[in-house]
Amino acid sequence: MKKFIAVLLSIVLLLSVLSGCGSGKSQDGTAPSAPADKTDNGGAKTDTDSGEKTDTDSGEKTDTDSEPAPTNAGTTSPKANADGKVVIRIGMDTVGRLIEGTTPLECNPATYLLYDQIFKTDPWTKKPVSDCLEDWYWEDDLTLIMKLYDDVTFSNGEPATAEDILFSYKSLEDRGSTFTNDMFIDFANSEIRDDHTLAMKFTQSSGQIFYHYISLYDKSWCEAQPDWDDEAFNKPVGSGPYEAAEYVYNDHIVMKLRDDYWNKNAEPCIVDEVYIKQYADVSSMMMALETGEIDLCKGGPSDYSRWMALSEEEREKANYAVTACSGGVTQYISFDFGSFGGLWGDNINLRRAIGYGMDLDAIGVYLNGELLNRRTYGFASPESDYYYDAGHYDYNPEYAKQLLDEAGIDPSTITVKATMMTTDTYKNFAQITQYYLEQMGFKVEYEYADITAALSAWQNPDNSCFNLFYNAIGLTNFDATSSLLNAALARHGWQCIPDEGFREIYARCKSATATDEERVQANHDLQQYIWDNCLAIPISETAGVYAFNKDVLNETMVNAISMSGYYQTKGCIHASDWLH
Amino acid sequence: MLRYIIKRVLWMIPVMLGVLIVVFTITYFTPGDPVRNIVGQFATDEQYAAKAAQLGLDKGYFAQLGTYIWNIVTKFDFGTSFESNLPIKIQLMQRFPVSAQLGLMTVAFGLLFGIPLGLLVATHQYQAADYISTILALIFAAIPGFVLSLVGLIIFAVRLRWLPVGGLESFKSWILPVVTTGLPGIALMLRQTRTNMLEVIRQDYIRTARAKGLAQRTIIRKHAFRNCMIPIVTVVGGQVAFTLSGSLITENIFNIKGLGSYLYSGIVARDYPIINGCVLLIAFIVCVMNLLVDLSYTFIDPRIKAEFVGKSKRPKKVKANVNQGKVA
Repeated sequence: MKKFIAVLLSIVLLLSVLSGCGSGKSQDGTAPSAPADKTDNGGAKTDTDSGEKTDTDSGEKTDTDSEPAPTNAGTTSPKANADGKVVIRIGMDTVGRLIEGTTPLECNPATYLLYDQIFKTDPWTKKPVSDCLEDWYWEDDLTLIMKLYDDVTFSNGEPATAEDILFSYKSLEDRGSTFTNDMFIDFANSEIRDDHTLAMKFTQSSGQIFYHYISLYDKSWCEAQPDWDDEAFNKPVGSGPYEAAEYVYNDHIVMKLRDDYWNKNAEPCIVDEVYIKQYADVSSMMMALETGEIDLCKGGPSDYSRWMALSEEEREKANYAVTACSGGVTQYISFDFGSFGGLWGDNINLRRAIGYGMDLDAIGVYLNGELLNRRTYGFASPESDYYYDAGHYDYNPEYAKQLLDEAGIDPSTITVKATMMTTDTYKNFAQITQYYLEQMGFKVEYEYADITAALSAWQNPDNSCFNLFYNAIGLTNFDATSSLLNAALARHGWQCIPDEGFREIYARCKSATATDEERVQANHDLQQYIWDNCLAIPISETAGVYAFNKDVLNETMVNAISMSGYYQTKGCIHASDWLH
Repeated sequence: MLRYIIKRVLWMIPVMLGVLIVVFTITYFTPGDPVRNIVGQFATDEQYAAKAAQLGLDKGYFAQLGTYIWNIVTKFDFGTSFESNLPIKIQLMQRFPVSAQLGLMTVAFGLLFGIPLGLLVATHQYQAADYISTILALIFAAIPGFVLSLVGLIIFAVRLRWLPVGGLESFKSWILPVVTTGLPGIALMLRQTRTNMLEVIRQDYIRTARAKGLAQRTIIRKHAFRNCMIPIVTVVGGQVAFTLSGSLITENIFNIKGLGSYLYSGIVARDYPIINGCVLLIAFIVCVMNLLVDLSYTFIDPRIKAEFVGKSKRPKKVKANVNQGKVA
C-alpha cells in the first residue's frame, strides 16, 4: 500500500513538473519575442467620432444549445432593477476620502457626484465648463470674474455664495495641497463683489485654474467641523446632484440622487443610485464583477487577455464583458533635461539616434500586447483635433549609426542609466530597450525600485541615474499637453524641458484666453517643436480595460465613460455621455 | 503564580521596545520618501519642508524615535497616518476586532476538525483513514493559504455562485475566509495531534490501563489525550497569535478590513506610522498569547502547576540533627 501511494505521488509530481515546463522571457538583453500582431490595431478597438467601438475580434455567432446571457446591448441607458431604479455598482481599487485636493491620493471620483465642480473640462469640446458658475470672464489679465448661479444650494439647505468659491480654493492651500501651485491665485487681494460674484486675483497670468477640478465647499459647514482631518468629513455636504446616503471610509459609499438638486436646468441624471465599493485586490474585484456583485470596474491586461481567450460562445454566455478602450494618453520616451548642458540635453543627434535605433512598433506591441491600441506619432489622441503627425521615427539602425557618427559620439563610451519601477510595464520597457540600446553599442545600466523609491530617485536633482525615461501618465483630455503633463515645470529633471521655445508654445496650449482654433494650432506647434528638437519620442496610445455587467451596461456606454475622460462615476450619470 | 504573571508582563516591555526599535529603524532606513509620496511630485521646496515638519519627518533618527516612544507611553498615541491623517489608534481599534473574530473562528474551525481527526488517525494507524488524512494534511499544509483562497473563490464564488466574493456582511461570506485559512491549520493540528498521540498511547501506563480493561474511548479521553495536549496547546497558541494578527493576503483577497489589510496598505504606501502601529500590536498579541499558553500548561499538567505553588504552601525543610544522632 505504501509503495503504491509513493509511486502514485511520484507520477503526479512528474506530470506536474512536465506540464509546468515552458519558455519564459530571457533575462538578458536578447530580443524578447513580441506577441503576434493580431490586427493593425493589435486586436484592440477602433475609435470612431461617436465614441463607438467596433469589436475586431467578434466573430459570427455559433448555434449553441445554451442561451446567451441577458444583455443591455443596443440601449442608451443602464437597465433599471426590479424596483424600477437605475443603480450602478462600481468597484474601485481606492475609495479613500472625499476631501479632494490635499494630495492626489485623496481624490475620489465620488466627489464629482457629491460636489459641483467650479471648473472642469468638457470631455467632448475640451472647453472649460462649470457646474455652478453662471458666467466667468477676464476683467483684465490678472482678474477673473466668477459669477455663481443665484440658486446654488448645498445638501444641508444652505445657499452657496461667492465666499464659498474663494474658500474652496483657499482651503486647498491651507491644507497643503499642491493643486494651487500653478494657479498663482492672489487670495489676499481677491474681492467678494456681491453675494454671487467673486473677483479672483492672480499674481501671474495663468489659465490653469480651468484645468483643475475643484469642488465647491460650504464654507460655514467646513469651518464648523473640528478639523479637516476629522471623520465628520465622511458625511459630506455638497451642492452636487447626489448625496451620500452611506459612507464608510476605505470601504464603500452609497450615493443617491437628490430630489432637491438646485439646478433644474441641468441635464437630468438617469442613475438613481451609485454604489462604489473598494477592493484591495484587483482579482477579487474582477470576481465580484463576474458574480454580479458589481456592474463596472477597471481591469488589467491579464483580464483582457483572459477575456479574449474565451470562445465566442463563452463570451455570449457570460453575464459580463471586458472591453479595451482608448486611454487618451501617449506612452513616450523622454530624456534627462535636468542639466540641459549635459550629454543628452545638448546632443539632438544622440536623441534622434535613440528614436531611429529602436523599433518603436515592436516596443509598442511588447509593452501592450493585446491591449495595444495603436502606434502614435503625436501626443494627443488621434481622433482629437489636437493630434498632429510631425514625423515618424521608423526603425533604421543604419541611420541611427550615421547620426551618432555625425555627432562624433561613440556609443561604447556611453552608459545609459535609468531607474525603472518594478511594474510589469517598466520591466518590459527596460528589457526591450536594453536590447536595442546594446544593439546600437551602448552600455546599459538600469536599476529597479518600487514606486516610492523610484519617485524619490526621479525627484532627486543630484541623481544622475536617469538618461532614458518612460512615461505614460496624464489626463485623458486627449490633447497633447495631457500626455506631457507638467513637462513645463522646472522642478524635476526628468520632466524638465528648460527650452524657452517649448515653454512658450506650452503656455499657448494652456492659455485661458485662447480661442479653440488658437489652442488647436498651439497643440500642433507643440508637437512639431517636439519633433524638430527630438524632445520626446512617442510610442503608442495607452488603452484602458473596463469590465462591465452586460445586463446593466453596454459597450457603448463603457467606451464613452473612458473616452469622456471622466472617472467612472461621472461618465455614468448622463445619457448624453453615451449618445455623443 | 501571580508573581510569575507579573514577571512575564514586565518582560513584555523590553520585548515590545526591542520590536519597536527594530521596526522603526527598518522603516526609517528603507528607500523611499513618504513626504514626497504625500505632497506629490509638483510640490515646492517650501511645501515639502512644511509637510515634513508637520509630520515630524524633518528630525533625525533618534529624535523621531524618542518622540514616538514618548507619545506611545504617555498618550497611547501611535501617530496619524501619513496618507489619511486619521489616528492610527482609532483604526487599530476598529480593525483589530475584525481580525480577531476571523482569527478565532479560523482557529476554532481548525480545532474542531484537526484534533478529532488527529485522534482518529492515531488510533487507526496504518489504516485507510490514516493514509488519506496524512496525504490530505500534507497537501493542505503545502499549498499556501492565498492559493486556497483564490481557488476557493473561483470555484465556490465565481463558478458555482454559492458564496459571495468578499466582505463579512453575511454568514455565507465568512465561510470561504474561515475555511481556506483554516485548512492549513487543520493540517497542522492533525499532524501534531497524531504524532503526540502515537507517542503517548505507546506508554506503559496506557498499556496498563488497557490491561485493566478500560475501554479505548475512556483511555483516550481520560489518560492519553491530556498527556499529549501540551505540544498541541503550543501549536494552537501560535496559530491564534498568527490569525489574530491578521492575514495580510487573505484579508486583501476577501476584502476584509482587518489588521492584515491595514498593515499591507501601510507597507505599500510607505505609511510608517501604520506599519509601526500594526507591528507593535502584533508583537503585543504574540507576547500575550505566549503568556496564556504558558499559563495553560499549569491547568493541563499538575506537575507544572506544582512549580508555581507559593512559598507558604511548600513544606518546611527540616534540618537533620546529625551531630546528636537525633532526627527531628
